[in-house]
Amino acid sequence: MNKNDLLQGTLELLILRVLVTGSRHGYGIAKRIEQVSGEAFIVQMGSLYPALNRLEAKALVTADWGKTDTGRRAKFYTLTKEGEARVDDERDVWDHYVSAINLVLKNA
Amino acid sequence: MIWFKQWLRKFGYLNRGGRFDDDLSEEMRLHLDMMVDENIAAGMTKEEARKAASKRFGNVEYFREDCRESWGLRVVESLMRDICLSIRLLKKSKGFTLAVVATLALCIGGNASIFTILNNVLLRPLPFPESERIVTIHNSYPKIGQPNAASNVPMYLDFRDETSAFSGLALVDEFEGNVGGDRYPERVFGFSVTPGFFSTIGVNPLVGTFFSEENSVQGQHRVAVLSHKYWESRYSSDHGIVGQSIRIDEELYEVRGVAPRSLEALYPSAQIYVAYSWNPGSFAPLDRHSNDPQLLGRLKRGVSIEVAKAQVDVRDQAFSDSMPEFRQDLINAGHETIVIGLQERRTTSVRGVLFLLQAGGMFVWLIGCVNVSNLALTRANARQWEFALRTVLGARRLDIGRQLYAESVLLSILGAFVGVALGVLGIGLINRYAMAMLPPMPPLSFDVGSTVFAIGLALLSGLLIATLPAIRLFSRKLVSALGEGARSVSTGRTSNRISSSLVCGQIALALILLVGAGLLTRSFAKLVARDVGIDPENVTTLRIPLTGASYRDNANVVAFKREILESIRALPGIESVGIGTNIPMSSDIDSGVISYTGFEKKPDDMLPVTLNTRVSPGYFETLGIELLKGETFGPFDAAQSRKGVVIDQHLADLYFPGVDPIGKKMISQYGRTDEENWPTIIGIVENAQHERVDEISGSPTAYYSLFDAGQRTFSVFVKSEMDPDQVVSTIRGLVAERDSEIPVFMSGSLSEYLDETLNGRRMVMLLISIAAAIALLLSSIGVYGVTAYGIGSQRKEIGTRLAIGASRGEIVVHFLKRALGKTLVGLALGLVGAVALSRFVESMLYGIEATELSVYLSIAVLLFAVSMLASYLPVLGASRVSPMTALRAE
Repeated sequence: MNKNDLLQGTLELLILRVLVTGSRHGYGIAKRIEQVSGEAFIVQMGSLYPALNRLEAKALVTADWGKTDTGRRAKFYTLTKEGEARVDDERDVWDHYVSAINLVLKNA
Repeated sequence: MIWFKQWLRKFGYLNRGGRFDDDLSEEMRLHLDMMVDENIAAGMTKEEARKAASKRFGNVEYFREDCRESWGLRVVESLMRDICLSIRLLKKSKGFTLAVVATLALCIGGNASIFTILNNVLLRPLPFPESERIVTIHNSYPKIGQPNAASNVPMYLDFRDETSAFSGLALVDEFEGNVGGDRYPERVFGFSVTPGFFSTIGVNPLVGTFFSEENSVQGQHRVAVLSHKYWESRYSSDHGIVGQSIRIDEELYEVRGVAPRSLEALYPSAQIYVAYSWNPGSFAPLDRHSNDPQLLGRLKRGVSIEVAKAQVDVRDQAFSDSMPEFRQDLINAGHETIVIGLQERRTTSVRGVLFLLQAGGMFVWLIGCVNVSNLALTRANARQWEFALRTVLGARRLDIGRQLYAESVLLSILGAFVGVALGVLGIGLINRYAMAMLPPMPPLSFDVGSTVFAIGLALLSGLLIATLPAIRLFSRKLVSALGEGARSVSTGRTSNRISSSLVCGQIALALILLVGAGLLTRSFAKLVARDVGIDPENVTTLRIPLTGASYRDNANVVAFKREILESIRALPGIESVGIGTNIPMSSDIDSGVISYTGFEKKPDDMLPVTLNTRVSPGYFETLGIELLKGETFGPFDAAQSRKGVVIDQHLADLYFPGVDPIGKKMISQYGRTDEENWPTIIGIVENAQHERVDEISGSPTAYYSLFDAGQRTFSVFVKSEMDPDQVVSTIRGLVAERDSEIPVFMSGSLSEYLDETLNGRRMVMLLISIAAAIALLLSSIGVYGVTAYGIGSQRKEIGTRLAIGASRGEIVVHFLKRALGKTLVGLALGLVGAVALSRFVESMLYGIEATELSVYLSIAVLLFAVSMLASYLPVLGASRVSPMTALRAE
């Protein structure tokens, strides 16, 4: 499997999950996903930013301008209440999906 | 409410415009820089780090679009872009824009005005609670020309006591009187009503109370309720007036209360309401068929009109059973008591007219849309090359189509704006000049409903207009236009065919409208030219009410009339003078069934009711009603104790065929007096029309002597070469000399009064004619435009033909032949349509059949001529072009 291929919905779930631990800017989110997945996922910019905009349009995250550690202006994304709720929902859906796939793979 | 927040943010972005891009760019830059830093930290050189990062980052522009799409911004943005482009394009072609907006505005404004009337008169219920339950109940005698007679006290009492369908019943009659005493004397108009009137309508007093049950008894009737308008104007909205007395016709009336403004929707000009009263026990059973007041009822909740009608029928049957000698008369007259919704009754007479006007308006609108459509098609053809180029550059057809629609919707919205302004203007004009054709109602206003209608019609126009060019767009290989376009913008046969068939349709629609207008105009001309048997020239009329207490004595009334007649006759410059109780065609006139000595009614006789009026000596001479036989009333009738009656030719023919009626005794409403006291027929005059125009039924008329009864309100007619105003003021002086409390009203030239009776019909004819004229203009513009365009696109052909020796005449004939074909097809379609639709105007015509051939033919010839002329002009222009110019133009 090409490790660049991430299901669109999956990327949104990962972004939301990453933001549970606190606000981050785009680069931070991408970096975090790559680190935690052990570099298994490489987040494409062309996917990341449209996804972030989609989430913002859906009001699952908010975006505010702030300062990075190095003092540069950056847009920080924060989870909204709706976003938090969505993480749990989506995780359930995902678990269900994975276990279903596993069942098929093991038993078919 | 998440969706709401989302939209708010969406529009936040839209409003910020360029900010979105700037923000995104900054975010990208940061990301890129951080990746570069990371690469450098991993040991790359600065240059390598930047290259690697850029490579991973990908095409920024590409996903910038994706980011926008995440917000759903693309659709809105492209719409904005379409609109901006449209505005730019329309600004560029001002002539096109102006033509389209003007056409649409005219059509939309006219239709919206008519719709406003329709909406106010027909669609909107009366502003009373559950107003659909208010009905009127009246006697109908269709077989003797009285389909809508009125009601009476016996019916009221009978239905009130013996039926259960109505929660309320009320008699309503017109009332007029002189209000005086406390302030300036004034003639007021209003209604006398039984106590249940207000609750039957469903209104509550604004101030005070309404009438109570005992007020309908004669003697306890002196109570009044003021209309809101009159309370405001005469009593400055003073609450203190309630409980006080005002003087009406020399008697004191107690003001009980003030009616709410909403009642003006039903009776807009009423100033006062008084109690309708009678002497209990004063009515004979037969009075159930003497018709004067209107009977209103409110159906109980859940009771249908059919149920009420069935109960009323049972009561009619009971009456008929109790009066067997009268039964056959009722059957002959086709008697029936009608129960009908009040609003329906009020509007039946105008329903047809209003729908006709709206239909006419919609025809004009369609013709207008065709013109605009053709213009738009022409424009789209001229833009083929542009469309093709845009396609080549990557525009989808959908994009181009959407832009076409945006453009025409924009145009139609502009049209709606101007149209609404025109509509407001139109309603102003209608309020001023056209109220005569409507039932009594407060002035109209161009309201929300009208505006919504105008905008709706505009949007529909927009969609219709863009559809033609859009169909063209999708039905053709655009790119091939690029090849053609290099040399010429070819029209293609399809679009020519579409335009041609549209022009045919236009001609057909215009013909239908013109035929309608032609029929109405011809009918109106006949109406004006009809022989009414009255010569109003140089006749001045005025009305005098004798209201003082002293006139309760009939002798005084008669004396007053004699004196005023004598003194007017004595004035210099007076040809003749007479008094009558009615103004011909302008006021209601009594009617009844007559009897004469030796009259034996055959069971199946269907004799129409006879109109009764009372006139003085000099009446017939003054109004120019010619005496055919015998004599008319003379000044010494009373002295000779002679009681005479003059009948008209119609009555003589009906009741005395082949017999000389003179010398016979006759009476209206027989059974009241002994036969010896019946008046004797002394003369026969020619037929004259006394009924209102809308009620023309050619009823026979009997003229009784004015001095045999004491009618206290009467009209004076004076034939004189003097100015009517001068005559009126002189007579006003004579009246004041005798009694300064008596007002004079309804004064002026009789010709004008008679002319005004035609105002309603005149207005309808005028409005339809205006619509037809606009239709004619628009369709001739349409024919001109399509021919001119067809020729314009074939200049090369013309040039070639001319160059190889065709004569100009041949060119003209060639193009005229095409126009001829279109015109003939259009005319044929139109004639078929006009004949099919003619039955809708049938009921509005007078003295002319709806299928009158001469009207159809003359309209067809007119339209043919106009259409050929409209084609000839551009053809002529083209044939004058020099062949070299035409060829080079390509």
